[in-house]
Formats: sequence, C-alpha cells, structure tokens
Amino acid sequence: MTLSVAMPVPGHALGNEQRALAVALQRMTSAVWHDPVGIGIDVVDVNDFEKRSIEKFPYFYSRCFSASEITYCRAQARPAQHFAVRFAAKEAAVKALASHTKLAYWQIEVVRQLNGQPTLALWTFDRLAPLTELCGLDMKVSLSHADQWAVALVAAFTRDHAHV
Amino acid sequence: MHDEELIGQVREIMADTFGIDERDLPQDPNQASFAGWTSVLNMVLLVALEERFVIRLSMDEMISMTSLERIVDVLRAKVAIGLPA
Repeated sequence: MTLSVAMPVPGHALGNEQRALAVALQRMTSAVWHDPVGIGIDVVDVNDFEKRSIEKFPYFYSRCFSASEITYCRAQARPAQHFAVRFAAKEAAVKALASHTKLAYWQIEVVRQLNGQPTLALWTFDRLAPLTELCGLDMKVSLSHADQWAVALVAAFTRDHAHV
Repeated sequence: MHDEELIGQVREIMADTFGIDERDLPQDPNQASFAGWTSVLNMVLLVALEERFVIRLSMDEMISMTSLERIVDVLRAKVAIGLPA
C-alpha cells in the first residue's frame, strides 16, 4: 500500500497530501539506499514489561533505562508500552551498529524532541558523558506500539547522508 | 559452590525468567534453540544473575552468555567456583 502511494500511477495526478507523503517516502528510501551502514529492527512483547513492573524489578529498569526514560514512561497511562518500545529501540540500535561498535542498552537513550519526534542519544559505557563520536555515524529511529507489540527501527548513516 | 549447585541455581533463575517449570527447560538451553529466549528476557536473565551472584557483568561477558553452558562458564570465573576454601 505504501509503495502505491510512493509510486504514482501514470496519468493520475497526486493530491497534495499524497505528494507530500510520496516525497517523504522517496527521501527516506533514498537515504537508506545511499549509505545504509546499518539497519536494525526489533519487536517486543509489551506483556513482558506488564509482568515485570518497575516496582518489582527496579534493578532491571535501572540497568536498561536512563532516569529520564523511566520518569517519562512512568508518567504515561500504560508505562509498559513505552518501556517496551524503548527497549526495542535499544535492541534495534545494537543491531544497526553491530558491525561498527558494541553498545550496551544503558548507553542508548531514547530522547523525545519538543515536537515529539524520538531521537537516540548515546552515552559512554559508564553513562557519565555523552558519546559524541560514533565512527562518524548518525542514527534515525522510528517507534510504534499497539496493544501487545512494540516495534522500533533504527538506521545508521554516515553523517553526510543523515540529514534528509 | 560446586558446579552442580551453580547449574541448579542458574536453571532456577532461567525457569523463573522464562516463566516455565524448571523440568521443562532443555538440558542445555540456548538462545538459538529455545524460542522463549527473547532479547527482553535475555536482559532480565542477565540482570537477575547479577543480582543473585552480586556481580557486574561486562559487555563481552553479556554477549557471550548465550547458553546455560556459557553462562556457567562466565559465572564460574566470576565467583571462583571450585577454589579451595
């Protein structure tokens, strides 16, 4: 369905909304095809987090999530969904960067920009300082969650191709 | 602590993590053959092992712990199993 929007049928004009979506998809596709140094995806069962609340497993949460992530997720109506999708993002980032570096979950933080768009912040192994240089790579992340499943996609780009 | 005791404790933690009876665990469960061993439960398991044995695992150790046998290998080294008292 997505491709039918991104690839206009000859003789049929696109509406403004379709055109904007097609352009966005073409840019994303272009970025991926240009220099996909790494792509990672992960799906997480939200129930795994429902069954293990932060109240019962505080050490697990402190090992996987930053204080900011914990504060944000706990403020949501259903924290497990938000923890699950962040965990998926961390695993997806680990996969995307597997051929370049080894990162622990606690080094990868999902940060929400003011417009709500998620980004990834990376930290040193001891979590004390930002990891500013990652082999000249930038990452983009997309998150989604439904009732039971949370999914995240991370793509790593060389810096020149990250800003699409 | 002897190997049998260590293996027993690890199997107990694994069964608890995966939400199954210990008797239903394969003889040597590993990530490749045991479908319930997801990325989330892998981390739950590693953190539970850290808590139980009061240790802190390194990244390399975590990555290497993909089966009961390898987990026991790492823990044996960490908690100095079998050394004379």
